[in-house]
Amino acid sequence: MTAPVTVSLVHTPDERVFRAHVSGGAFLRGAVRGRWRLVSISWPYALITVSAAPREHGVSELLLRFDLSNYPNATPTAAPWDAERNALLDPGRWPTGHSRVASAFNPGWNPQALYLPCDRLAIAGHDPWRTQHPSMIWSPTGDITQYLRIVHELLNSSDYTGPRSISPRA
Amino acid sequence: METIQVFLQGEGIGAIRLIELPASARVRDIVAAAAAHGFPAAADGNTAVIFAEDSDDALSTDATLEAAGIGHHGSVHVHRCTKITTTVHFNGGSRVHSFVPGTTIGRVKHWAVGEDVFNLTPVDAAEHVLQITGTQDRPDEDIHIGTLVHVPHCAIELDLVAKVRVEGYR
Repeated sequence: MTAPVTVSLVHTPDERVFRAHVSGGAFLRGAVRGRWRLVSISWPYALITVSAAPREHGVSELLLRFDLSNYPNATPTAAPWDAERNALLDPGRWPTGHSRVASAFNPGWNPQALYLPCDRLAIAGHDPWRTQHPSMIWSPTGDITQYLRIVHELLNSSDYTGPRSISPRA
Repeated sequence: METIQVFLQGEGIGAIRLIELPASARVRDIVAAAAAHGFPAAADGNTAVIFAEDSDDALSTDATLEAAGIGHHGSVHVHRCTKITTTVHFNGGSRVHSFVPGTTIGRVKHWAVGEDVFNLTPVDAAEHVLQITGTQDRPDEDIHIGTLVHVPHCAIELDLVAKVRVEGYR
């Protein structure tokens, strides 16, 4: 279960906090339950997979690359990632769904981020979300499981239908 | 000495904690570990009660962890309330049930959407979530309800609310 560790003589304060959080109870419990899995850390980036419900032509887990600069004071941002190409995931392979999932995973808006209030790139310019979706707003007093729980719920909801290139249009 | 890791939640503890105990430890040793993470000292005749997650019976404090069924990566709860009066509001109605503190939000939701309570269809149930009444807080389904209450107020009120699509981009 222990993730590969990037050898670094000195960790910055934000990386130290992140490493403490992914060694803590909330993250590890989710990992033990198969909800998510830390793949690697190459600061300020981290690769984490989130498990997805079985769907025709779907994947068992979605890999996300997080930019965790100034974690946890700054809101993280994440994008679906292609491990084989070490690049952004092709939009056709992004998850989609009937409504909520299609809205959150929208490469047409930005292929480098998820359209969620907990995402740094998405919340910029969407101040109304702070009152419309308060439970999804990033809190600096929390940890990365805030973001992961939201993604896990979407990928395991009845709304989720599979990859965009196969699923009916939302 | 062989040790095991146990996920701990409880009164005054807040986040899910990961504690390490000798494999030969007894249930009562969990209380000392909980105190180190914020569990209040027994007072006013309120003694600590320990539960396995989602189990209705309090654990015998003299039992070994093994005899109590607590293994590596098991989940436990420590509280001074023995029961929590839980009220769920939905669609203008309210239902009440007593749960033990180690009951997960997920189990409370399962009860609330069941055919004997609010009788939601599986699709509707999946698109609803429990929110603490009077707040915007939506505890994760793995959170024990005991973490949300403190002696002497051994009660909680929750609203069953719909999940909402994040809007803003066209």
